[in-house]
Amino acid sequence: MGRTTALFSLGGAPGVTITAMAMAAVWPEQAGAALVEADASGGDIGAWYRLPASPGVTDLAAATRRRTAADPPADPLTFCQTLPGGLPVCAGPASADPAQGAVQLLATNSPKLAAGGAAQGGPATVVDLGRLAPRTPTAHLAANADDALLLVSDDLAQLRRVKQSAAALADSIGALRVVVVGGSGPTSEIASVVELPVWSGRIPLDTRSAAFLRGEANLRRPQRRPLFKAALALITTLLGAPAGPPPARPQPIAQRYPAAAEQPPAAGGPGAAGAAPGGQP
Amino acid sequence: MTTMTGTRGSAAEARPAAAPPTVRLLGTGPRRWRWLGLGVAIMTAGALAGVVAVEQLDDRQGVLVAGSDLAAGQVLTAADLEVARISVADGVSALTEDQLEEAVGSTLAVPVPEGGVLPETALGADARYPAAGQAVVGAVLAPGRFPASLQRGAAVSIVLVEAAQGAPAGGGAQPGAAQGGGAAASGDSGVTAYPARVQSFELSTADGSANVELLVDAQVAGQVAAAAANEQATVVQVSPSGGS
Ligand SMILES: Nc1ncnc2c1ncn2[C@@H]1O[C@H](COP(=O)(O)OP(=O)(O)OP(=O)(O)O)[C@@H](O)[C@H]1O
Ligand SMILES: [Mg+2]
Repeated sequence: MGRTTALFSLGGAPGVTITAMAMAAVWPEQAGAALVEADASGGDIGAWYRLPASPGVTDLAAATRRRTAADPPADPLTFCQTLPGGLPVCAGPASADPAQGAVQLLATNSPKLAAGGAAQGGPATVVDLGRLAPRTPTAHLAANADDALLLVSDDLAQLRRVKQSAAALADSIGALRVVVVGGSGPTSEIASVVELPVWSGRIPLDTRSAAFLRGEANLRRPQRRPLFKAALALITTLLGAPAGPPPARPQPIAQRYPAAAEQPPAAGGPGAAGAAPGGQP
Repeated sequence: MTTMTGTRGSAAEARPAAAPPTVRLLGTGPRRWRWLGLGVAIMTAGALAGVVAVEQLDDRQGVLVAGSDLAAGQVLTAADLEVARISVADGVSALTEDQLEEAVGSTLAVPVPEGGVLPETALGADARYPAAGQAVVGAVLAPGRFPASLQRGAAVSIVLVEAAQGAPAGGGAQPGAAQGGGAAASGDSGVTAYPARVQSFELSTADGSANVELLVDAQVAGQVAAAAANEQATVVQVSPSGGS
């Protein structure tokens, strides 16, 4: 089964979506990777590539809900569209309301997103989780990934935020690694400050590649651009480490985010927007 | 093939085998517009008879793609077709550019959306549509009787529930039942499933129902049409490869 890599930030838009796309696009294994945009505050890829709303994360989430015990887990690949060039993308809804509902359903019913199911030699899965807050469905999805990458800009305020959240994050997300976007030089100093594992490389600022990934510009040899080289180096580091240490200390779902546990899996309210923390027990 | 992903020496050594680093994306540019439709139109698994997996740009060939939405039954002209240079994965069915002459003047056997790659099965052996033994059945399906992700070209099972069996919803309808190719009754005696292909699919915004045209075996067309009219038909999407 292909590896699942989740990317997220603590805010500040460091480039989670762009980095996730770059990684999925250069994934070096034979079967490549599929990109799943599970950002609870809404996705961008559909707008960048003018994709129809369906198939996508909403359909994937709905499929996990319809599951009976006998069915195999819903396969994100079934709900992907193919971007020009061949990258399979399961795009999320653009607005927060349906996106939040979908992410919640995924976290409740199918937290391990694995494209191609359990098949050998299947594609890897790269998940754009957007911005993560503690005890949310997003955090649950991060905890279930084989690798969880926290992206942070090389910027004092953002790094401080990571440092302050480090203990709580390391506690709930086993395979956590910090990836620094921008800046230069070794990251060992950052690692000693934030007290979390930090990838030794950096995701460079590369506006031309970012425009290319947004579908706004052409690049003749994207694989030679710094962003794609860095994405490949990052993947190589991940693949060199043992596959998926299981998530640290899994807790019952109710402890993580009570709202989700209350929702009966079969409840089919329009938009499944029951994410509102309505009923406290 | 999971061979190279394990731990083995340094990170540099653990470099996965296979493809040289390529980027599976195209930006905007001269060729971009041809791809737009393709990106929009193709579900990675399911939508079209010929699902294209583009692996490497350096290893590409010319394949025929639809220049505009093409309906099944239409006689192809050169203006309907374009050549896209892409690499097509092994086992994927696609008409190549040297089949252009053959394609022009043929009758299209399956609908192909704009930018979609024409599968080898696109050209009916005989220039008739539907082919002998097949029939197109129109139906209006109530919400819940079809998957939301349904698209034109999808391989489906149409599950019929006999009137006597009462409430049909989820009543043991087994999508797998029809995957052997022919019709099959499932263990639940009131339920029968037939393989079909979605020729057209239109959602009504008013009430969420779907207007579909299904290509089915001619022998069961009457039965399918009658069941659809009586709200006893449910469309279930199946794997395009018929199971596995
Ligand atoms: N490595 C990079 N080099 C240059 N520009 C970048 C890079 N990564 C992202 N950008 C640009 O920064 C902006 C935000 O990027 P992106 O949408 O990927 O951030 P995000 O973290 O996903 O944000 P959000 O939380 O809002 O979804 C975009 O305009 C993008 O083009
Ligand atoms: Mg984003």
